[in-house]
Amino acid sequence: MNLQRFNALWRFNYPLVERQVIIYLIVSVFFAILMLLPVSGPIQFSIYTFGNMALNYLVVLAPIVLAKNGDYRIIERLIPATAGEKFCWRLIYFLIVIPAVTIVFPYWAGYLYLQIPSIQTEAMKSAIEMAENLPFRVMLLNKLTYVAEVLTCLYVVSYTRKSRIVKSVLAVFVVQFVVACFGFAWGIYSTTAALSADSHSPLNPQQLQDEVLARMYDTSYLFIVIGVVTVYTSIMLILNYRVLKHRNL
Amino acid sequence: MIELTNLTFSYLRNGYPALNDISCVIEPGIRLLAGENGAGKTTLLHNIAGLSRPTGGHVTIDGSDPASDKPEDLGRVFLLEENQFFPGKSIREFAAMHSRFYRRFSNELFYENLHAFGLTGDESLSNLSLGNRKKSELAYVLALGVDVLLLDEPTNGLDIEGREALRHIIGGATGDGQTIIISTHAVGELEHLYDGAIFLSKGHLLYAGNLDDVDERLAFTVTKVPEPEAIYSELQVGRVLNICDAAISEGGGTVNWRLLYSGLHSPLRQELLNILNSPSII
Repeated sequence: MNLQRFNALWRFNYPLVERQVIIYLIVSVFFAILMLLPVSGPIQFSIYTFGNMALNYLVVLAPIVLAKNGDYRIIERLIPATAGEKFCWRLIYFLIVIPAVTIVFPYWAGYLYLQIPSIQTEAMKSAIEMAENLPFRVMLLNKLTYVAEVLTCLYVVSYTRKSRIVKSVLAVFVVQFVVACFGFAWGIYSTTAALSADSHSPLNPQQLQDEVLARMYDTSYLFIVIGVVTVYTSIMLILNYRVLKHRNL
Repeated sequence: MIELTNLTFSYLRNGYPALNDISCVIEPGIRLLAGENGAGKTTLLHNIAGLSRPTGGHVTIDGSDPASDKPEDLGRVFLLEENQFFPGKSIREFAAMHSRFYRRFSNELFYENLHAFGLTGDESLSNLSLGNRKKSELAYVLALGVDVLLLDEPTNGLDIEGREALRHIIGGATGDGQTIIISTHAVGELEHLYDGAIFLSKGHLLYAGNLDDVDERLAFTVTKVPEPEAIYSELQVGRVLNICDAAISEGGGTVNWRLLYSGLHSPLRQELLNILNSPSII
């Protein structure tokens, strides 16, 4: 990789992404402030859930910026830099810069929330603690799913010729739906297993919930899902590179 | 020099070819690329720019593949299309970011071009009218100094002064060995600038030739008429000769490409092609 060209690529793309980074920062700070408001538990929990969902979509749909102002692809693909250099720029921007910009303030707000007892409510506190204490495998699956969704959006925006924004949003929904189906099947499987254990030695609701979660986190099913998402993500990585390498428009 | 060898391109696998077995050599100079809607002009430009890979045959620019991933090959071609998005607040800002990749970019020429179009370069691209945005883009790409510059409908949206300025700029733009291919339906607009033409129809190459070859053949046909009666009906001979006569200027040196294009899209196509493709006269 030629660092001079890579640096020039950053400078070249700066006007394209400048506004996006600023908007994402504003939304992120706004959500962080909302998280720290001393309001009732259900409202705090709603803000937290809705905010996380919105930020998640902001991150995975960020590649739409490439399609919003007419066709940027010709200029980009004709730039005298290798496909590898262009690919690296895209990965660093969409998989590191954008998530960092979007998540850093809410993450910091979550930490701050746990340090200020006067604004804490039980629902919000347990939601933040649960999110922060997820087992590594579940965390890994979450991150892989993010990456898979971002790469899907990026690929569809780069590859398709018409209705690129609509198609890329639909593609992200499809990936989310498939992953959700995996999660749903996984939940049913774990609950069924926990309930059948329950018939032998009755558990109270809290114990049952813990049992279901323990089975969800431990089962080999989780590894299979991680494997499937990893393979899909790898294919998306290759396709995203190929679309820049072969430059088909 | 651009060489197209049996170039075939389909958008869909096994689909109807948008370009069908096109072979020709495009020498440096200003070339007209013309054809009806759907003739394959933009597809040909994309293949020359390396934005599409031929499904058959190949394209080379001075022997190298334009679809390669090498920065030095990529830096030789630039395509300006309709609805192309130039990131940046102004063309000046865009030029500052983008021209770093092009070693032969001339900042001086860029500002000369902007001046000729009556622009400063500081105008906000998002607030400019279609025509002024086009002028800004043209001012920039004509200063890039690439070996092959592909312009798709460059006069679209330009006012009369803009077209005049473009004619003036392009006329002085071709450096040593530079090729500018202008794809347009407004064939007559820049016609005194063209050193040659490529005519497409329904994905097939109708004719590709240099100004001198065309001029020589048309002039010869008008003046000598080598026993045309043996080949054509009398009525057709008269009409073909009329086209040839009108297509060449007095004293030669320029060709009325618009008339020739119309002739090639008329029932007289074959007769005209016979003349244009006849062996060298001199």
